[in-house]
Amino acid sequence: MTRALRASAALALWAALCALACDRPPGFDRPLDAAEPLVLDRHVVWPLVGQPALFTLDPATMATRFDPLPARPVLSAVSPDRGGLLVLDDRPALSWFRVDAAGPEAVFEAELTGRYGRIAFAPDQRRAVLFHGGGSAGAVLQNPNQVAIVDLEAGRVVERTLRSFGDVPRAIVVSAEAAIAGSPRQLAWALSDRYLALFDLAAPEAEEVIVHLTLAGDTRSVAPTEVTLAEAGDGLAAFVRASGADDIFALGFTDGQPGVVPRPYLNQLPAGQRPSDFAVVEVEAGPRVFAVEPALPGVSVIEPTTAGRVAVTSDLPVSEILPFEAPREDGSTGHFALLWQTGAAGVVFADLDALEEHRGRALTPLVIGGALTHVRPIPGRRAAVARSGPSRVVMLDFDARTATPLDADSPIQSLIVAPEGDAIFLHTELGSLAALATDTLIASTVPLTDAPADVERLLHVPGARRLVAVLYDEAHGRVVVSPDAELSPEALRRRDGLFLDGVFDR
Amino acid sequence: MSRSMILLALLLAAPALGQTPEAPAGAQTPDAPAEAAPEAPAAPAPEASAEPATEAVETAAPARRRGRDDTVHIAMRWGMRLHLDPAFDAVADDRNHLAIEIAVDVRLWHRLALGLSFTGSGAQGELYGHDTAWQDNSLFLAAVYRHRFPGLGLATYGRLGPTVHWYDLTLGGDLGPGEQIERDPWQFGARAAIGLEFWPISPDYIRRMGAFGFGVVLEGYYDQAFVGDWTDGGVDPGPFDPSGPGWSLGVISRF
Repeated sequence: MTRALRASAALALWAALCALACDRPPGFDRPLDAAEPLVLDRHVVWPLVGQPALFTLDPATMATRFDPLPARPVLSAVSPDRGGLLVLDDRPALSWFRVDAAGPEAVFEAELTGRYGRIAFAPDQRRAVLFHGGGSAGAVLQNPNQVAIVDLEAGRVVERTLRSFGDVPRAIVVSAEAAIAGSPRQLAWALSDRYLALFDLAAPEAEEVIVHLTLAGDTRSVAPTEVTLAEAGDGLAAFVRASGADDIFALGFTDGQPGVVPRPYLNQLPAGQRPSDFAVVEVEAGPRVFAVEPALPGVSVIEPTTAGRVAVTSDLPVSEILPFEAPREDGSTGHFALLWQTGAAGVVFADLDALEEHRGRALTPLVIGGALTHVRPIPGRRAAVARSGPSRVVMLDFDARTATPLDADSPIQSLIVAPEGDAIFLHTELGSLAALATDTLIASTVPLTDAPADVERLLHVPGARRLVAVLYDEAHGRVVVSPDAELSPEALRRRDGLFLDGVFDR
Repeated sequence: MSRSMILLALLLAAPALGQTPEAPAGAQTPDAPAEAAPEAPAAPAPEASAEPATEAVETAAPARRRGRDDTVHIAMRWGMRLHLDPAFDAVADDRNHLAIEIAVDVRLWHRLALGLSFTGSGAQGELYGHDTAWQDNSLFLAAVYRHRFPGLGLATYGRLGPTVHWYDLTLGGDLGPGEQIERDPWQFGARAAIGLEFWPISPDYIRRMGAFGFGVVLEGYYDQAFVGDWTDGGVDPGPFDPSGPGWSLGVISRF
């Protein structure tokens, strides 16, 4: 009897202990709240704001990972090489991840004093600048001129406030690291109304240099909208286009002291009347500024050192320029551009190497017979793809001077050009995925689901050579993955409840 | 991990704490009286009389026979089932949930019986803001060893045998086709249980009614599942071992 009672008591004690020991992880009681997916070289990453965590899918193997984050992510950005991920959270703090074949690995974390809404990476991924950009929130008192200069290799953050002349940085452009006056620099330009703030990421504490684009007392709004960095003349130069200005501003450097932001000299390049877009290209004759002038309509070729300008008229209205490189018949690399305007009936193919010399003969207009909505050059080819109307794409071959229309059975939702230029991928409103071989114009299609599906977005993961169609799913994530080289129902891999993959192991 | 190990150690220790060693035939212990005495618990102590001793023996013999005649036990138990694997946290808010069992024992020989039971248990919860559901139905074929303490109206028993489970797991709730994960795998397993029965009916009544009786029962058990693959439809929720202990309280009758 005594032993029986002891057995019962032991059972009761054990049950009570078990009940006390079962603490459910709090993340299970919160929603996933997945943010927009981010495409890295081999992975797709969803920041799960509600958890908080990063959910990673390797579309080549369909392997997934769930990496908890220390706090709710408020902003995430992929580095230009698609190999890194910078996450800002609401502590506020930042976390820098390198993403290798296995997935994201945290490199360092750093606390922040300010809240930032935008991230500008350096082209070499070594540094980044965080700034307000109108997207931050959560602080009682905001300082929109505060920036954080992040050294991603050293894991160091310097926060400071840029001097202001009545405005805030609207955008920040970071150059590649370059030597100026014998010192390595990584210059960044903060664009504000009527002025630029120039600072050096390699010397983050050094005082910035302010470049005014208007004279004192000039109340006109001259807002820099575009900055292009290029080697020109004696070295690195920044070319700035501003709304409300007829000139392109060229900022060059002649000298400077180590640890001090070099002071640029300002040169104004005549670009016709209110240029709407420009590009700086190193052509055979040297660096040239190509500024698009809608009022002409046409394009101006400007020599940046002498400010000499050659204006070339186009037969079609143009307002944007898309430069690209493609091989010539002799095997050399040529520099070309597409000139176009939204709503125009055609696009102009420009041979930039020959434009200054041959002028109008270097422009090849192609009429497509509809209103253009998008134009993209095809890498490695003297060709482009254009969209005209909701369900039509037009393949433009500037060698053959042909414009071949292809019609989809329903409105086209998105269009992706393969990095190699050998194919174009698109998905339609009815949930079909299509691939178009750019050389043969042979299309292959495959329905993503048995029934018409709502595709939220189509992603191309270049390192994995996969297309990832993200389907609408408010609950747990739904994707359809296809090899980009083969579209067939057998090759499709669908995952419903993607974010529940590995949920028992969290 | 360490918490699970502690719980497992407690679980393994519990049967040892409550073990009631079977006395060898004919041995006298305080908790296990000699065979002759428990088999005739209801027989009042013979009063001193002038009648021959053989009559007293004849009176006790039918009582002993009737006490052994109960061949069938039917029990209905309900109690709590615990999952030791933390993975169950993804399925329900609490790792404890209600389990109900209906069991039948048929005595084969002496204290050994063959048992068959059906157990149903389930839980509902919420995961990432959407409903979840878990159900575990099992059949348990058991070898039952029962030892009685008739003088106290008590019996202890142990059950051991294989199980077969049908699980039903739903993650995602009522979201419509394609927006939830449903799994219904089946798996083999095993269960070990020890229990304590209390037969509150007076020995006189038992003597009059022969084998019939009813009582209450308290049981502790451990379910071991031989875990299979939960992957289905491409999404792999990960490893989950539904094994775990449980306790139940119920009613039992014999005849």
